[in-house]
Amino acid sequence: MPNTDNSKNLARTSPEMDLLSEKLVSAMTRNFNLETELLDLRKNLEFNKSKVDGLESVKVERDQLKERVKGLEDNAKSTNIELQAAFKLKQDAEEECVKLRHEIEELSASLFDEANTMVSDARKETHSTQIQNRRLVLTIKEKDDMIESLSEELTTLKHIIENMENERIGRAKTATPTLTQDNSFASPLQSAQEDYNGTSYPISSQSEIGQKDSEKNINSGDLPSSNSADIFGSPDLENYNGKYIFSPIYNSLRLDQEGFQDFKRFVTFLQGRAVKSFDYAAIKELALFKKLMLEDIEPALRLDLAPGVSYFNRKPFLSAIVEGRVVIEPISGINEAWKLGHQRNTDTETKLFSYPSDSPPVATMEECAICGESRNDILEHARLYTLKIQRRSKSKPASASSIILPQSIAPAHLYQYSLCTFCVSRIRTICELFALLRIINDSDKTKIWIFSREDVYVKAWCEINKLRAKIFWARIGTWDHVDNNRGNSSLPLLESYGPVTKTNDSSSALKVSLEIQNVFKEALSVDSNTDSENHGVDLNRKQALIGTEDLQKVDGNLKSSVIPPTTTMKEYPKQVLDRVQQEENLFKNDTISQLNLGQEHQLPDGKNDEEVEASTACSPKAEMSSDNGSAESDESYKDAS
Amino acid sequence: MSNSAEDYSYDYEYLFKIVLVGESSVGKSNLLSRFTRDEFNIESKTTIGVEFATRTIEVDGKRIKAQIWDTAGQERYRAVTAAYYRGAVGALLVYDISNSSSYEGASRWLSELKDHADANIVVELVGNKSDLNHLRAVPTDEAKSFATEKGLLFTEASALNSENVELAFQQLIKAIYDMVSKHQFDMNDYGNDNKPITGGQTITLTPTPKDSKIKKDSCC
Repeated sequence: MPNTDNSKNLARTSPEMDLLSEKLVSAMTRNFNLETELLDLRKNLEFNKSKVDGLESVKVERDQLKERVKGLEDNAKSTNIELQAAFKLKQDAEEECVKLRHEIEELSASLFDEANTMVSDARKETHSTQIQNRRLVLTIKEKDDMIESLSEELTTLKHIIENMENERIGRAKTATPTLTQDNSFASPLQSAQEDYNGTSYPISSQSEIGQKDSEKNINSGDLPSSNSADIFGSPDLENYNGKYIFSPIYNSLRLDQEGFQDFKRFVTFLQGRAVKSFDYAAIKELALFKKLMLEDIEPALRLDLAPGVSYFNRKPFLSAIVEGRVVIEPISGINEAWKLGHQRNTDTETKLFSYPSDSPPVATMEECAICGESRNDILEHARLYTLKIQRRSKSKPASASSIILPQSIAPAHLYQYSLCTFCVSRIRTICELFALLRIINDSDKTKIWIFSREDVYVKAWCEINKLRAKIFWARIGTWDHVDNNRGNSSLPLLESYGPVTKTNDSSSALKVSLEIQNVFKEALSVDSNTDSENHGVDLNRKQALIGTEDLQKVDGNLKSSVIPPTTTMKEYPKQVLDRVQQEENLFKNDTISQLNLGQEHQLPDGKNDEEVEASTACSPKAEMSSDNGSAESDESYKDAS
Repeated sequence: MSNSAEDYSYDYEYLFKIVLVGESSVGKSNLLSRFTRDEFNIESKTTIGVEFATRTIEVDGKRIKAQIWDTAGQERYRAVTAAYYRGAVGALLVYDISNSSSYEGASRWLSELKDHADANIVVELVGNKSDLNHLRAVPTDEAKSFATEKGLLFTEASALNSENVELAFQQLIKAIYDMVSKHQFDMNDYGNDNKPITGGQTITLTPTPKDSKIKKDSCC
């Protein structure tokens, strides 16, 4: 049965089985699908879950953002308020700006107006100024023309005055010479008297007149002094040769001699040189120079006999003279006040010199370097001067001395020599010659001697010979007063000589104030005359020599009768007063003007003598320029002794 | 306008009036001619009345015109004194080193300057003729100490060989310039002459000369 039953069961169950298996399969499929769907869903879920998670954080974020947005919104709100405020401000500002712009426009408009008016004013002003200026220029031009014409007129007038002056001098000059010419040989005395008695003695005009005129005056001043006993007076000399001994008037000059040719060659040589310095070494071989040295300089200088110039210093001494490195000056400027013919300024201040203005002359005990003079008896013997030899310097020596620095001078001197008054005059004449040669050498620079024409050579040669003549006369013992051959118009007035100055006893240790016994000696002196190159100086020298002996005697007398030093004129020693009296008596014969003159001479003399007593120092002062004083006094001395 | 001014050569900044004083024949005129024209006249005559000359020099880069007046040293030719010194800012007091009385005269000239010239005037003592060293009558030291004592500038010069002439004038002008530039000088006393010339002042310049002219007329 199972089979059948099986079969029968099978048969009956198969379909069912099929159905069921079908059902199973479909269920299985459905299950599978569902499961897949589930898985999917699960996946989906999972995914969504994670998504939700993400969304969660986004949400948090969103919240935060929301908050921030809120904050920002707040911010924006406040900013907005601010903005509105700013906007308001801006509006205000704009309003203001507009206002200002208006204002500025107004202002600039007014400014322009103002500027315009100013410009127009200025233009007006300029215009008027221009007009004024033009007028002024015209005025100036007119004035210039006027000045020009006036100065032309002035020059003409000055010429006229000059001519008048010259005429006057000429007239005055011709007046005396005619007298002398007529009478002098026969009787100079008479001519003098005539001259003198002829109304006015032209004293007042003297200072302005040239040298020559004063020569004449002084000469006529001498004349009244002539007296029968006065053999040494210049009038007698005039009698001797009828002329002044030392005449500056040359009428002829030999140009045919070799000397003139030498001079021309000399000038050519000097001008042709590249270096214009006037060196002894450079010119010592020139013919002219040699000739001058041999004939004029050496015999006058006699350095070989000079006790104070050592053998080795002779050449430097000479070359210094040649080159102009020599300063000859008084020990103090005060010494000059004691010169004959010196015009003392009454208001002389004490500070002018290193010694008081009323100090006696200052000398040194040292003997004269050139002649060995060591006597201290009279002014001319005294060594009142020093000769300083300057160092040869790169710049010119003279400029070294005149530079403002006070120290620069002292070391510039190499050697210093003391000189007596006689030697001073002698050496100065020599220096003058070389000074002239140096000027000729420097003619490019100084433009004084321009040798363009022959007559300039002649003129220069004439000058040189004048100086050679002076050297010659100086050697003989005659000279003019060196100070006065320049600057004629500085001649002092005769009438102003008078005033007596006081002396005091001041004397320095080194420098001895001289004892000068009297003015007479001085009057005999070298300094003879203010100006005259043509004075009887030769004579004076003689007088000086002779006079001194006499005077020394007198001095003895005076000194023995010691009289206390006084400064008043009343207390002259008797002898002196007597002498003065005598002299005054002499004068009484002459005209009043003479008398005055005479007294002027005498007063100082008397004073002097008194000073002698003081024995420290005495004041010759007020040296009369005329020999007149000297001659007279000498003569009266002779009478006295 | 400016052209015409230039015609009158206002090409200087200062104008100084300087006077030369001193005894006659000390060489004042020759100093002047040496300085202004580089000339020397060995035979020069005595000056009659007044002469003057000008020269423009440069001090500290400033052009200074010196108007130098020269008068006669001789009393009889000296016509004008007050007018001569009026407005002078400097003076050269000249003496001759070889002539002692010309040096002694210096004190007289100083007092004349004191009487007639302005108190502030700058004075220089000049020893002329320094080429005559061998005829010297006035030792340099003594003159120098006199100058120091009196507060004067000092130079020794020679118009003949032109030594120190330039220096003498320049030294004086420099001293005046220093004084003026320090305003020690009350320049109003002197009119506008001493004022630096600046643009607009040309107009005001004229009254002063006119004034002085009137004064001159009245005193002569």
